Amino acid sequence: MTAREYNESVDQYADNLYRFALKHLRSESVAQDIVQETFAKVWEKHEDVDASKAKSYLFSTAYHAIVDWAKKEGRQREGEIQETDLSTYSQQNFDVQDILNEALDRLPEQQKTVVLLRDYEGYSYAEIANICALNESQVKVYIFRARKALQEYLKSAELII
Amino acid sequence: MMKGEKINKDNYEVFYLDYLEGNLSGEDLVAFEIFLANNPNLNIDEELPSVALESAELDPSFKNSLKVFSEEESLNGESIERWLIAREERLLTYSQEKELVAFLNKNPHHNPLSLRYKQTHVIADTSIVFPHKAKLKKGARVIPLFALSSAIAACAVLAILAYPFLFSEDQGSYQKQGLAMTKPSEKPSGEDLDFSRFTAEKNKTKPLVQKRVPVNQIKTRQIPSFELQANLDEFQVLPERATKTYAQTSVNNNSENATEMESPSYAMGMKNPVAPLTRRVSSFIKAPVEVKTGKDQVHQRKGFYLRIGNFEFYRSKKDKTSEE
Repeated sequence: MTAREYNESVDQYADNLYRFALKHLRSESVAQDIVQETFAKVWEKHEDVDASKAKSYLFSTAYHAIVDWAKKEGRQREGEIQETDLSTYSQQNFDVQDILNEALDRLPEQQKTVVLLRDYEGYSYAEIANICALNESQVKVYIFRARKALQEYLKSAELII
Repeated sequence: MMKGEKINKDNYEVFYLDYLEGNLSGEDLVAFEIFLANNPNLNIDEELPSVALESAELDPSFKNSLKVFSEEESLNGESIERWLIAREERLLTYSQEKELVAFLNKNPHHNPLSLRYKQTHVIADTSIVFPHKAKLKKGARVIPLFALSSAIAACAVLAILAYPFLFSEDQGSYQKQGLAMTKPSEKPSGEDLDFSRFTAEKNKTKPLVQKRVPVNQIKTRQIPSFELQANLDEFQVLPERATKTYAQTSVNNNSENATEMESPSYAMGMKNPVAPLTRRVSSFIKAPVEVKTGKDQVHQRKGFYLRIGNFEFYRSKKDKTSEE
C-alpha cells in the first residue's frame, strides 16, 4: 500500500472505524485513540499490506485493539450496562434504533462485534471470520443468537410501552 | 482407597464416595454398611449431599434456541424464528422466501415476530465522523492557501529588489536579454563558431528566427535594438521587442517629466526577467504587475521599471563605461 493509498484509506474508513470503536467503547476519546492506534499500526506495515485488503486489515487491527482495551479495563462497563432498566423508555421517546442500540450494548462482545460488522459494514461471514479470527460457523451462530436476543429485547420493550 | 483398609472416622468419607458411585466391592460394601450401623451419630446423608441431577433432560425450547438455520429444515411453528433470521441474513433462496411469505399469510399471528426481526438491523449514525483525519495522513502536508500566496508575493518582491545586486552591471542585463556579447578588449580568433554564446530568447507564442553569427563579426558589445539593427543585420530581433511597455506608456502619459530612461529606445531593450512570476502575481492580485530591466542604448544607463496596479516606480543610473 502506497502513501497515497494509505491516505485514501484514511478518507474512506476512518469514520467507519471510529463509529465501530465508539459503539464498542462508548467513549469518544478512547475510540479516537483506537482509530489512531489502528492507523499507526497499519502505517508501520503499509508496505506489506495489499491496498485491496486495507479495509479488512484496518477493522481486524481495530477489533484486536478494542479487545485489548476491554481486557485492560476489566469489563467493568458490562456490569454498568446490565443495570439499565427498560422502564426508562417512555411512549414519547420510543425509537426502535434507540432501543436496538441499548440491546446491542447488552450483547456479549463477540456477538456485538459480528452484528456491527455485518450491519454497519455489510461484511460476509467469511470476512467477519477473518477479522475476528473465528470460523464461519461461529460467526453464523453468533449472528443468529444476536438477532434473537435483539428481537427479544425489542419485544420486551414493546410490552413495557 | 486401598482394598481391605479398615474404615474409621478419619477415612469413612472416601468409602462413602465410592459407595455412592457404586465402586465398593462386596467385602468393602459390607464393611462400610456395618460401620454406618455402628455409627448412627455421623449422619453422613446430611454431610454429603447427593450430586444426582434432578433431571438430565434440557428444556426443549432451550435446545431449540441453540439451533441455527439449515437449508434442509422444514418451515413450521418451531422453526419459524430461524427462517425469519435467515431471511434477514439473506440466506434464503427465492423459493424459500416464497414459502415463508405463504406461511406468514397462513399464520398471521407470526407477523409481529417477523416485523421485529426486520427491525433488528442496526444502522450506523453517519453524522458521527472521526475528527482528526488530517493528522492520520502521511507524506502530504497541508499548506494553507494564504501561506502559499504570501510566499509567492514575497518571492516576487525579493526578486525585484535583489535583481540589481545579483547581476553585475557589465553582464547581467545582457545575458538576461539572451543576446550574444563580447567585451571590447576581447579579440576573437574569427575562425571558430562559438554557438554557445548565442542564446535565443524564449517566446512560446512567436517563433524566434535567429541567425548564427561568428563571434568575430560582432564588433561592439551593444544590445541590439531597432536603432542598431542596421549594423547588426545578422540578428533577427524578435518583434516582441517592439511591443509597447509600461515604461513607454508612462512616457506618453508624462511627456513633460519624461527622463532619458523613459525614452522609447530604452524601453525597446527592457525585458522582464521574472515574467512567469509577475504573471502569477498579477493573476492572483487581479491587477497588472510589470517588472522591466534593461539598458538605455543611447546613454548607456541601466535601470528598472516596476508597476503594481496603479503604482509605478522606475530607477536609472549611469553606466560606468559612459561615465568614463
